Amino acid sequence: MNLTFLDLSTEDWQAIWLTLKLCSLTTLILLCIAIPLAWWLAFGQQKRHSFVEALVTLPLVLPPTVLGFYLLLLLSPNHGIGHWLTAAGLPPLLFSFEGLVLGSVIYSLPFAVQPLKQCFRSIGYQPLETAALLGAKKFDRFYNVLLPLAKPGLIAAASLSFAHTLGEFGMIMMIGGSIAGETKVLSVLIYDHTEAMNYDAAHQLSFFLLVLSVVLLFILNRWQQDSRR
Amino acid sequence: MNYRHDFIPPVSGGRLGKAAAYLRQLMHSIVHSTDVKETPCLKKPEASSLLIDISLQRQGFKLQINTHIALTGITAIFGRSGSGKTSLLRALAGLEPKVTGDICFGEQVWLSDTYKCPAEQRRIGLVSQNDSLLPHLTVEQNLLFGYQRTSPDLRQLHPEDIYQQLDLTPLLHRSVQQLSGGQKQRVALGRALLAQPQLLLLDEPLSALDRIGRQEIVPYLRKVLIDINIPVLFISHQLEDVVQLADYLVLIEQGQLKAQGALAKLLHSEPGLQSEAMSLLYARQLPKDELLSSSVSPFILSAQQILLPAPLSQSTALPNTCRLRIRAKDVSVSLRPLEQSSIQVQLPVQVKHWQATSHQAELLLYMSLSDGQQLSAQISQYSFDQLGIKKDCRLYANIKAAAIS
Repeated sequence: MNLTFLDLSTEDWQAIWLTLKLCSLTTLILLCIAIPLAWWLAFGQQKRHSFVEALVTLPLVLPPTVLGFYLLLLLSPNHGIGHWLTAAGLPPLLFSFEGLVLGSVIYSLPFAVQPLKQCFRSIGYQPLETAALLGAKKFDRFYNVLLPLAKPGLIAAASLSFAHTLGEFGMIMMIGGSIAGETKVLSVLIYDHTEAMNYDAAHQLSFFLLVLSVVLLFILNRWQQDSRR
Repeated sequence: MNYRHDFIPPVSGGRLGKAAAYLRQLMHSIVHSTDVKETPCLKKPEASSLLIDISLQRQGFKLQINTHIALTGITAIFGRSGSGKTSLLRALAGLEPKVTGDICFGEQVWLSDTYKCPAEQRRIGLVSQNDSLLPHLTVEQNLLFGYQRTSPDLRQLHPEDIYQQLDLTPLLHRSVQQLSGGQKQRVALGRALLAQPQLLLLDEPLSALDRIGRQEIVPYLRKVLIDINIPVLFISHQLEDVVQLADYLVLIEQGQLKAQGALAKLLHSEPGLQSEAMSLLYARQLPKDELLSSSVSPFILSAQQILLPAPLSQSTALPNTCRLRIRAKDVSVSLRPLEQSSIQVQLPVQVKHWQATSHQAELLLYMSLSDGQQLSAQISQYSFDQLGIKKDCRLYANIKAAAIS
């Protein structure tokens, strides 16, 4: 096996770019969803909270293929959401980049919600009540009190979602297939290279992914240490 | 208030310009000197009142309060732990979502069947028992958090004055984590005041502090509360703190209002309140005579001039009036005024009633002064019989000046 460091083809670069785009977009969307959801879950004690909590945690337990299978059913043009989408004249989500984003958001949801929920619980109501009594309105409290206090939780949620989406494979195979430039992300490409017995290329990409993940987790750890200080 | 003193045209350059600039400066200084005289802090307090008719249902606990509190000076809300004091305070502040009923502060409706004024619009200052400083901000940023969010025409208390009064200047650039418990409470008090509150709520601000921590805040608390004319509700489960600060008392028991009234009266009508019988008298301070030694000040108590060791705690409700806390066991009675005695304070009194104490041979004698103030004395059954005390009989109450605090 002859390994020249980072001798990547255009196809490889395309996959890397696509993967980074998918991860960033997923992380961004996840933060927008997870902040209100985590806040709602952090202080709710009713049955509906437990139910939603279970739903959010589900992707942590289910094999990605099962999740992908049900998404496939749900999005296929003959059923449910896919049917409405085609009826409304919208492009089908299946086997498209947009579909991958939807799938990734669901797949990585627990990794964004759980750290934020813990963080909100440890912050509690008091700082926000204090700010309210000092005249801060709702958005002011959110932006100038809750967000800065929740920084460690936000960093953890963002990097975990990013890293987890990076490692996604099973579900992408189910709902995205392997379309170059559209759904062929790094993990899928590595699989393809291996299938084609193109081990050098597979190793290059695997090594790239490995280094990226280690660096990401290292930065996350440093950040959390800093904000704890 | 908007002063228009810009009627002098802005001429630039030349002699005329200089003269105009000088005139403008002069006008400015005149206007601002009147500003100082009109500082609202120096005005007499406007009596505001709080109308409360609320109920709050919690697991195994119900708060049901219906009362009207005239807010002058410091009003204490007193009750055991778990009696609902903090819930009442949170309901007033707008932090209890499930409370129902009516709350009116003066003309403002804070809560009714159809309306709930959000906490950020009530302009309430709260200093709670636990650390409430925002940990991501420095001390100075904490102090200015509310100040920056009040409209400039409401700002009557200014950072420099508050920093000076509460001795906060050395702490400004520290992080919140570097402060001691007493310092934190001082910052919390300063922060609440700088938000220009119309009502100040103190929720056991001393309870989490040790003795040193208390010494770091109590003198400041008293000084600031006397200087600033903001009505204060002070929550406590320690009578000692209440007697030191408050003039008016609201007594809460198991979520219900038990009694309310002037502290001096309730000390006598609710004997279960205190472990040690005590009276509270108000004495008017007289201008100091230069011939007197500096260790004593002249006072008028019950139409009689007396000398008391300075300093004593000022009343927040009555101007130029000091509060005298007197334990019943420091009061003795006699049929005639004592002559050539070390007792400085001898007041003519009339016996109202008496009651047995936990100690068998002693009883508690309740008397009223000529101006209607009430005083209690703890005397032995033996002296009681010897003096032949009857209801409405006139005596002299003798108090050692050193026992007054």
